[in-house]
Amino acid sequence: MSDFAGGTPDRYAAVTQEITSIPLRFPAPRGWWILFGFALTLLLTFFVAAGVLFRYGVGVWGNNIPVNWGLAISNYIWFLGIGHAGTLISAMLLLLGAHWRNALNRFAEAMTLFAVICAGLYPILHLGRPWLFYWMAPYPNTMTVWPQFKSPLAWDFFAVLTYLTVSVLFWFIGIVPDLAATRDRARTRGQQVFYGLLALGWRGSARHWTRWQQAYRLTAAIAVPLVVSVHSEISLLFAAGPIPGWASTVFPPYFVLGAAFSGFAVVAMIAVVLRHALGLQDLVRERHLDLLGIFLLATGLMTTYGYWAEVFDVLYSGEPQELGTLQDRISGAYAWSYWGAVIANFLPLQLLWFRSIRVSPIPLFLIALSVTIGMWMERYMLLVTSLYRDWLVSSWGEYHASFWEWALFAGMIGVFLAPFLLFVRFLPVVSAFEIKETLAQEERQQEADEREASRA
Amino acid sequence: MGEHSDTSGVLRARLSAHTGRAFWRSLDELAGTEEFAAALREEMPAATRLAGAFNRRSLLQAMAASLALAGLTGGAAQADETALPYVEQPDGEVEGVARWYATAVTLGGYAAPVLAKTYAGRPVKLEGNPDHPATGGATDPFLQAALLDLYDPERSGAPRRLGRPVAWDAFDAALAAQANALDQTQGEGLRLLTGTITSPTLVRQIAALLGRWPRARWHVFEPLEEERHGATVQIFGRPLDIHLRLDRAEAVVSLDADILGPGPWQTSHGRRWSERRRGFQNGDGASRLLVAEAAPSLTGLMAQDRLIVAEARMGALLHAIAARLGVDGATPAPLSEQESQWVKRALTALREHAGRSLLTLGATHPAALQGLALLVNERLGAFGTTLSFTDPVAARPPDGQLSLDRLVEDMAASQVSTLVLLGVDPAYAAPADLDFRAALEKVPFRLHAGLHFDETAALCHWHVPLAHDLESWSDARAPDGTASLIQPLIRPFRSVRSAHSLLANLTGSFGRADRDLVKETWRAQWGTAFETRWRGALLRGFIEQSAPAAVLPPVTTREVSPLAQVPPPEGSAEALCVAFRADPTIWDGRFANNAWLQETPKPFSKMTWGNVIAVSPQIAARQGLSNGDEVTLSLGGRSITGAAWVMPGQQADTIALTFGYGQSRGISEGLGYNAFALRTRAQPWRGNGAALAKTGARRTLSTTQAHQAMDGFDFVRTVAAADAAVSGRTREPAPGEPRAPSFYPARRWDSPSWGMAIDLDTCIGCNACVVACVSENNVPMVGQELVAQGREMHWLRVDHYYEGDPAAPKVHVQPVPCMHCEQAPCEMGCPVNAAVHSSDGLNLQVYNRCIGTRTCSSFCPYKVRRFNWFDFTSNDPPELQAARNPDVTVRSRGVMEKCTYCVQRISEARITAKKEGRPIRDGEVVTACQQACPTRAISFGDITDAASQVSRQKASPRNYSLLEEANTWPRTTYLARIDGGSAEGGGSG
Repeated sequence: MSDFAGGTPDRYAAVTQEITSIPLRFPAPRGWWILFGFALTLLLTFFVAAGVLFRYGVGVWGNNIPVNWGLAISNYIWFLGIGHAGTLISAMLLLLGAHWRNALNRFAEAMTLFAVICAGLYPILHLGRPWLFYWMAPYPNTMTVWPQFKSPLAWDFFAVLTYLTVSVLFWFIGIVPDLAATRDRARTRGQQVFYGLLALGWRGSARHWTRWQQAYRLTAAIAVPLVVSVHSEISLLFAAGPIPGWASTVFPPYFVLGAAFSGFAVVAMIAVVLRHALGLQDLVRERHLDLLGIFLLATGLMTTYGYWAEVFDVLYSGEPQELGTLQDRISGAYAWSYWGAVIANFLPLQLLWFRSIRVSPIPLFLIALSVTIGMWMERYMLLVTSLYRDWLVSSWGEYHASFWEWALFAGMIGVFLAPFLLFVRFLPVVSAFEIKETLAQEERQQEADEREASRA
Repeated sequence: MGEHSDTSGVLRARLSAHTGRAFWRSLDELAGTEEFAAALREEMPAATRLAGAFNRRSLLQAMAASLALAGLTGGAAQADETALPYVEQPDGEVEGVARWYATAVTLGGYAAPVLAKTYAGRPVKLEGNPDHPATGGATDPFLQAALLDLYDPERSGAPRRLGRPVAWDAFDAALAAQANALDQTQGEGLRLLTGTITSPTLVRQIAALLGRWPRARWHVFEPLEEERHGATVQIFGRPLDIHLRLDRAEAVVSLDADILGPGPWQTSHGRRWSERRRGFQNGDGASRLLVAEAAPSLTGLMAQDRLIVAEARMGALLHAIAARLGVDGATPAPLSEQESQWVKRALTALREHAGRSLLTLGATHPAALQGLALLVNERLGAFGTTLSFTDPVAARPPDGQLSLDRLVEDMAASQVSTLVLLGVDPAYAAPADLDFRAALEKVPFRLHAGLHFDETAALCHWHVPLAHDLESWSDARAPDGTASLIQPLIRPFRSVRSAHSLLANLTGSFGRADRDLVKETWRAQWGTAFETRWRGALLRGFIEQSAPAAVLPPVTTREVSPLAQVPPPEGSAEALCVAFRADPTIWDGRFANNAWLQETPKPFSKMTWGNVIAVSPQIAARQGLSNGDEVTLSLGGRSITGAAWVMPGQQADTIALTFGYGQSRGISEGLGYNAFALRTRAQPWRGNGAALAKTGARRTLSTTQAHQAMDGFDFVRTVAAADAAVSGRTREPAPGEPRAPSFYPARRWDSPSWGMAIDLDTCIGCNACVVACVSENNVPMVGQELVAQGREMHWLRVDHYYEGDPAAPKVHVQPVPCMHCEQAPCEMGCPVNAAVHSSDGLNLQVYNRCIGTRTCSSFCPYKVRRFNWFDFTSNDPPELQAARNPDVTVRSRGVMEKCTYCVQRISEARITAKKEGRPIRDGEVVTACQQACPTRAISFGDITDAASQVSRQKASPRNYSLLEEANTWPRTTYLARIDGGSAEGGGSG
């Protein structure tokens, strides 16, 4: 770590020490092992549920005609939505120069990464013939068939794959300097080799930093439009079909904002937990919770607008089929998902108007949890309430997720949690050098202010 | 092994029992069967020890013994007299090219003429015989599904003694001994029980049997048949069959007669009624149908004027009509306001079209009323015009048409020493108050012959597996009397005997070929030029001019018995009436093992794999019942338990039951309730004073359509009769011509470009098209649980909708195949190019490209796409695999499938046309559903050709697209129903 001009090296060293000591000497091993054991159990559930699925076919789920898509696709959208916050916080705020992000970006990115992996697995698992999923990729083949480019699914495939690639790159580029710091502080040979390999020979030279800055900002610039494109694309998975309830033009922004909303909620939850468990109160400060709360509130209100716009579209169009779907949402067999979404997403959210609530970890955590559940219900509602009663009365039918769908969902949470816990345990969860950068800037600002004051 | 020489023949017989294409793969597979173990027990008690304990060593020992004894070389069955070794390709046989044979299958004893498609000697599809004078190619679901019965893996395949498989030699010996004993007594104590018989050969053989043993007697038991000749005996003094000439009838009044409903008459009635209806559509005369009935039927569905009335009121209605027409002796009983209004309208219709109208009363009503109905028809001038009479088509045994009760009396009195049951299952289907089982125990020699080892077979000493119609030589008459020759399409692959052989065996004649037996019958009738006529009849599938001539004897008496007083229906729960009906898909239970029919949704309830206790909306409201509530229905001290179904349009105090379920064998085991358990001799068709009680439990209903209210939409459109004729009211846009704006450019369509039109005005909702589609396209059956989950695989479904008041709704049916949209949302959704459009306008699904994203189905507004949720096909037993159409791919797990407009038939026609260097002719491509339709409601063809039949249909002002607002430009369009049955719009009430 190079020294910052005019700084107090002790403070910087303390930041690095605090962050890099977590992987080297983990502060809460017992709690971690309990959580990790739980996550591994879920992961095992995933493998069993996926095994059953591959052995017998999608029939083990509750899907049918007309509800061809069920939990798998609604969870796909939900996970991918969660995956949005990481990139949004890291990339967009990086480019906008909002330095407070530096306390949150690392674990938010990791969350994005694992959420996108979960999201990406779902559409493959839900295929009738999952072993042929690569047919969606445009690759030269003996069948001389390209993907069908009019299909939103083909674009989904590209979008998710791109998003996953960029997320991995962005996250890894960002973590390299901290890996080097960890390597330098590692005591055992194993740790030195492990972190040494991951640090890619980072020495912190000025040239390294220049290249790093270029790569990091460039990747960020690539990632930002993806935030918008991925979830817009997913909304087309619905909006491209002539199914009542999916035809509103508000869908793309509505989906993106909903995604950011759910993503911020999960980031807030993780921030509260990590802050407490790893004793990071001085890095993830009240101010961060406050800002997360504000973002949550803002995206939440924008999502509310989406709800209204959707209802407005239906009422304005006056199409009987659309009106029917609206009625099904409000009072049909799945009204619980509609009202669940409305209530869980917006009622507790209103508490965030108060700063005192925003900065207190437990209320913030609970509100974020409510939003996470609410957004899950919203995805489920959008999918199922449109499909279960579409055009012809004769083909209406209900959908009930089967045991194996729920098992796969639980397992998928394991797929998310297990690698995330490994990340928490073995990698620097907060970006040390970026916090120091913020610190240095603050100090420079402070000195400048003092100079101003003394001159006056 | 010399000491085992006597048993070696038996084992050889066991091995040779499987003839034709070997459906067991190896001897060890055969040796592993239970039947083998049973045979071993029977014939080689010493070896039982070996086979009983199935460890590896003993199994190998048993197998070794069986191999040695069977002597792999000497086991061939006696060759069929015409069998040819397949060393060189027979003339005319080309691998992969279908051969068609004209033959017939039977329903309730009556012939249903078919053309059967065979590949390499195995039948794969049955179609109607278009040349047949009665049906003109019409089919029904039973005919379509008969193919699966042939291949039924659970069909009986070996003779059994006391339930255990034995060799034919043992059976033959026992039969010969029995025949000797009968010779001593002139057949005293011998009774033959059959179903309805129309086969001239069988009649001849039975006559021969009765000639040899004059004291023997022949009885008939046909569960769903009625004594049909009481009225003609009364009126004309002799038994006559009454034939409805619906093609001539401009006004039909039906009193509880389901003339368009399931049964042997459906095909000819449907065809003739639709001819009249089309005449009316084209401005030629009227086609009015007025129906009075208690429970919804397909006839009531097509009626322009349906009176919902208790079955017990039919007599009063008939007497009222008769009295107003001036039939002497008719006693007008007081009618309710609604009833008298309907009678007034019925009278108007009958009188307006006098000479071209007819009145028909359900065959289940008493002969006295039937007689009065005949007199009404005489008064209407229907005799010889809309009604014709012939001598009875079915054979009449000396004891009357139905005489099971007399037989059971004798059995109970121990006067029966030998009972031969031919293709009947009275232990299951006999009336409940006739204790058939107990009486059967008293018969010392009981022989059952049937397709299945059924409940009666289990109670008999001997069971003989009967050959299916498609694997035997025989003959039978269609309901109009035209005789068909039945020729085998496949050598039996089970060890079975035909009824003809069995009767020949009984009279001591062994080894005579069935064909010779049938030939003998016709040789005696034809005399000269026999071979020419025989060949001609085989080629045609029926014998020309073989129907009995229409007769019109003078009316001998016009005496009318007075109307039995029926109390007007009360509203109390104690006054519930039960109406028994044939099941629309498994009939009297004989098709219970046919998965195609089990999974065919029943009209109205759309139930599969089971029957329901259909209650009226009023009863449901009174007792708080909803669909799926388990209820116990008691009638006359007996009760059944089943699932309730609230049936809109059912008479307030009526509960409708269907027969055929509650069986204890095969795939039908545990499904539904057995309505025969409530049936009595005195009240075989209806019962009064039933009580209904809710048990509190719920049953899962495997229906294919959960919602039936049309909800104000116009899925099925109706036009007034006056509007139907106005041309140019709406016009189907030309192919490719844009309708509403679309983001996608319109395509140009070259000839041919396929399209379909379905006339909802003539569709009677019979399901023949559904089963035909299953058979043609290898559609897998998924079973009760998966249907309940909404995973049925039918490519073509028949939607039912109710419109209006649930107590008296208008009912609509609408067959829904793929719409083959020009702007298909499914094609847009598929990421891998599996849903594509062909140049000739078909929306196609490329199975081996499909990865199963199901986007196409999610995007489909019609939800006509079906998904293979599991692997439905690869575990099919070999017999079922043999039933598949080799022209259609069998789909694997995880792929989407759908209606293709029978693309295989289009390809075949295209190839033929190309070879002959000409365009495909109109009518050359006939889809399976189109062919099957008894009312010719479906037209198909090239829509770029303005002269094609389908284009002419689509040019009708009644033509419309389903879900036009979805802007998918469907190629399948519908012709709206016409409200009314005459140009004045009369008949609608």
